[in-house]
Amino acid sequence: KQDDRDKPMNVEHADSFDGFQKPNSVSTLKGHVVITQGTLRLTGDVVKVYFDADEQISRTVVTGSPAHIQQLDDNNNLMQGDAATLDYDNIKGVAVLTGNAVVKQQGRGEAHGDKLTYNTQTSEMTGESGGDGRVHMTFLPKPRAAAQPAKAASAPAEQGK
Amino acid sequence: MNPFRRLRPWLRDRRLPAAIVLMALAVGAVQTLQWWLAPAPKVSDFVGPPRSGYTLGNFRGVVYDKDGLPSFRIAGPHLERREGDESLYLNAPTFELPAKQPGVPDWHGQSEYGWVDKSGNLIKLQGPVHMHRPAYGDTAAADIRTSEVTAWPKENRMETAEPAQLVQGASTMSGVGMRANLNDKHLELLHDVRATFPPRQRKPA
Repeated sequence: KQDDRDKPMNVEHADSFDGFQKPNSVSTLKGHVVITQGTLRLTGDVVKVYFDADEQISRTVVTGSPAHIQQLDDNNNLMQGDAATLDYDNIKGVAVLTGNAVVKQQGRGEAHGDKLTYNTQTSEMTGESGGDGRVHMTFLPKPRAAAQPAKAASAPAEQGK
Repeated sequence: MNPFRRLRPWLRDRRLPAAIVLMALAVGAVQTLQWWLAPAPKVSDFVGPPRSGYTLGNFRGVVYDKDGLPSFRIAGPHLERREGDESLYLNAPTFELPAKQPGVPDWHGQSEYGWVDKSGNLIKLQGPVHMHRPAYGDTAAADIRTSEVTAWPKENRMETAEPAQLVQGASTMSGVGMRANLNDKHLELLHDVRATFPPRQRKPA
């Protein structure tokens, strides 16, 4: 959701923390790391949290097997992403998934590629392939208006009685 | 005739002196090994006659480091110095760990009990331990709460194996087991970590 970025970022769990309580520093969370921020949820084995000059979180890099991201968009559709590395820019709200990246968007489709960029503000996604790999995208068809065809199908059934 | 063949009966006839010589050689070897391997004897760094034990009420104390600078201040209602291990036993101590950085305020702490070793290099605090550093500049005040702390004041370092909670402004962190270096603000939480970081303050466009 757009207002996820205005919510506190919670470390729901990590096995250990090693970092500095000062500006422009990097802290490392290790082991079964779960981070939430509104409907956004990041999980992985190692998470590096970057703090800027104001000691605010500017970026979060998650690595795992795989690193996972999920979030609800403003229409409550679930987006899920997996990749070897997940670089979430907490300032712009953009997640870059690299390494066997997969993004599934409920009701819209899914994408596979070497590098997928997902904008949590606009739900926009771009895919790039490295080397000879390709980006595969599947777009679900828009659901047609279901009402009319059903009526037409029932009329012949009555004549047949 | 082989000289060693005549040695056996010769020794057999003089068992006692032979045993004495053997024992002397063994003791000499052991002593030599002990001088060679044993650590150097500890030089007593306190000059003057051994100090007696004493008890202080409502005390205030300053411990200095080797450069003669105050390494930490300690106060409390009751202090006992026991001759046995020459350490200090404190009731309800309050203490200040100098930040040793310009513009950075000291850490103030308090606990139920405290123990300071003979050289003043090691402090053990027990009971609820609360440490507080006031805010300064853009940095919010910080609080550390745990139930037990081992601190090395001259290195501005502390650690605990117990659950610890840290609050700094709107950020909170907790874990089981903590190591903190107050000089470079390096912090480690060893197990079961939870944290909350406030959302970014949007700069006015």
